[in-house]
Amino acid sequence: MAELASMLPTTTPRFLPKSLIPWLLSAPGAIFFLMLLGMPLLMILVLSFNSFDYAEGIIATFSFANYMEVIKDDYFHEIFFRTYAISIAVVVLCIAIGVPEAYILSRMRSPWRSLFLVVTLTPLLISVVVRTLGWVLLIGGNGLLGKALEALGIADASAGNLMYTHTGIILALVHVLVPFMVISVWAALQKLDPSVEHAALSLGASHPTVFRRVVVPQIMPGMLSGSLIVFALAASAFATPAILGGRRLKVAATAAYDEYLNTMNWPLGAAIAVILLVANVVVVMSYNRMMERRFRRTLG
Amino acid sequence: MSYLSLTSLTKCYGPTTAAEDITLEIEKGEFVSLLGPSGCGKTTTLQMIAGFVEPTRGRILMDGEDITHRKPNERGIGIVFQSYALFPHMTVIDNVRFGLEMRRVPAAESRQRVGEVLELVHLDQLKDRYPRELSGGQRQRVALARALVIQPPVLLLDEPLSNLDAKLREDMQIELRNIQQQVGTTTLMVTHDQSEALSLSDRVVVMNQGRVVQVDDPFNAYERPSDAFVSSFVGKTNLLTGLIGKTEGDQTAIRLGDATLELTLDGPRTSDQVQISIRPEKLELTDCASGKLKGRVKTRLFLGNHWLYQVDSSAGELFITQPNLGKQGVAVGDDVGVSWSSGAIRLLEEKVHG
Repeated sequence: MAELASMLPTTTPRFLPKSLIPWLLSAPGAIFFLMLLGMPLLMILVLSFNSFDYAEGIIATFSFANYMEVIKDDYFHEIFFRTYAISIAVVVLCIAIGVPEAYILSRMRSPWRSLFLVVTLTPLLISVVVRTLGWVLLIGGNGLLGKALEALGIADASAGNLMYTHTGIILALVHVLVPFMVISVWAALQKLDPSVEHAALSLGASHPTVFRRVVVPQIMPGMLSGSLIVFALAASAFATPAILGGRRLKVAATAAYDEYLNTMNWPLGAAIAVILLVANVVVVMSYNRMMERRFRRTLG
Repeated sequence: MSYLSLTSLTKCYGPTTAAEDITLEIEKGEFVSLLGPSGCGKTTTLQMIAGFVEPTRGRILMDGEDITHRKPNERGIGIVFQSYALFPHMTVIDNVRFGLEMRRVPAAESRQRVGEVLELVHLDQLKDRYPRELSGGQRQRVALARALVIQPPVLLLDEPLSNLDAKLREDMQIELRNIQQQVGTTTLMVTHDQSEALSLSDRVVVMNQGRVVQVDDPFNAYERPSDAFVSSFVGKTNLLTGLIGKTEGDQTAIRLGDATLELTLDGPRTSDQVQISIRPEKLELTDCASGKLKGRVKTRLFLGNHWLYQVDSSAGELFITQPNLGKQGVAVGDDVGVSWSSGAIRLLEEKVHG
């Protein structure tokens, strides 16, 4: 073997060790990534250790004061609690809506299937600000929802005002994040062998039982990865909570924004951003680990 | 009264007819195979019996009951799918138990039945594995166990062995036959593999282009094929054309290349030609002078237990197999004679055109 190998022409220049080549080839992408994402993140991290004075501005010190402030203050506790409560609610609703939606889509016939899949994805095609302002028209103080409720005699017009409520934010976030759940579950459904469902039917299972006992366990990895995407995007969402929640219902992302642009306390804003990032990474990573351990044996 | 009876079962998809006028009677405990090339309607027929495809016309009776429009999950039929269709997220034992759970069989009885069937398919050692941790043959057994544990009135096998490699397939054929005879379940198998159909079944149903062509026991399907399609699909054959000559008494002279055969025609013929089928293993290579036909060896393949010769003869190209008796046979380019015993010739019925 060694003899054979040595007879092959050596294509790599002698001054380059072979192990370096993959690094060199991926260098342009890696440098681009590090410059545009890594550098700002690093600068924010450094900034979060600085301190701030209303008279002097940012002072280049090194302390954990900003972090301590966020960790100790009930005001920030409420903001982070709200952020994750909203995210979890959004994930649950996306599963409840997205999984049946994907299943029905996968059962549709040829022209309708691709048509409705595109319809499902349309929320992603509209700018987030435009879409959220659309929600304002619907659920705002003088919005369509309130008028409809009043016209139907169900409730007072003010009951349709969901501005600055958790319901409004969750509603708008679910609207834009459901497609991510649908796509993940759809991908998992495509891998299903249709005869497995037939097998369950032939063994006497009813359609709901087949869905619960055979389909859902097999698309669980898709549901879980969809939940991850939805959770991460909901927890870091900015525009929707900013427009629909305003100052009254701050989430972590809007709180960081306010520290930067209203209070001008950049170091504190940076600390909030870093905590949000770290918390998200921890949640996502541990969730992923748990999932992998669970499905390695069964579904590979 | 047969146990499973199909009457004029037909399935049309728009203008195309997948299965046409399938009529079949299957006795209790019988092993019947639907044999045919892909697209011949055998799988459609199976799917109609299973209830996954709604027949356009016709009736299905099982044990005297009309099940034509019954839902698949109310038929209680056991099915082994081509892809095995095991539940990937369940262990072997949970897969097998699923059907009993659906029937709300009490735990103690369920445990016993699952244990018995796993022993039957020799999987009692692997009951806690997941399907992806099993080999193809083992998955096949799980699928069989899962279908058998519900004690189905009818067992349907959809190309059960086609995903296994050749050696394993042979072993599984023997095992499948043994298990079926032990359990005694009425079984209908769909296959495109003629050797599988011949070796496993009590009767073979040969299908072509959506229709049943011949229903017979394996020996007769092979030895007395009803037409050219059956004779070439069930086993290999040489299809030759003979010219009809003079008739004397009940013997008609038929010219086949430079040979003349004396045969009994089964009825009046409209054309002056007949189609003749001779199996390759029934032809014999002799020396040039003593053969009925003269020819020259064109190719020769050594297949271990036998030789396969391709011989150019005056009646056309012939395939001839000769058992390997431990001697070198004739070589390529040799002039040979081709001979056969009188029973080897099979006259095929005339195709009615139109």
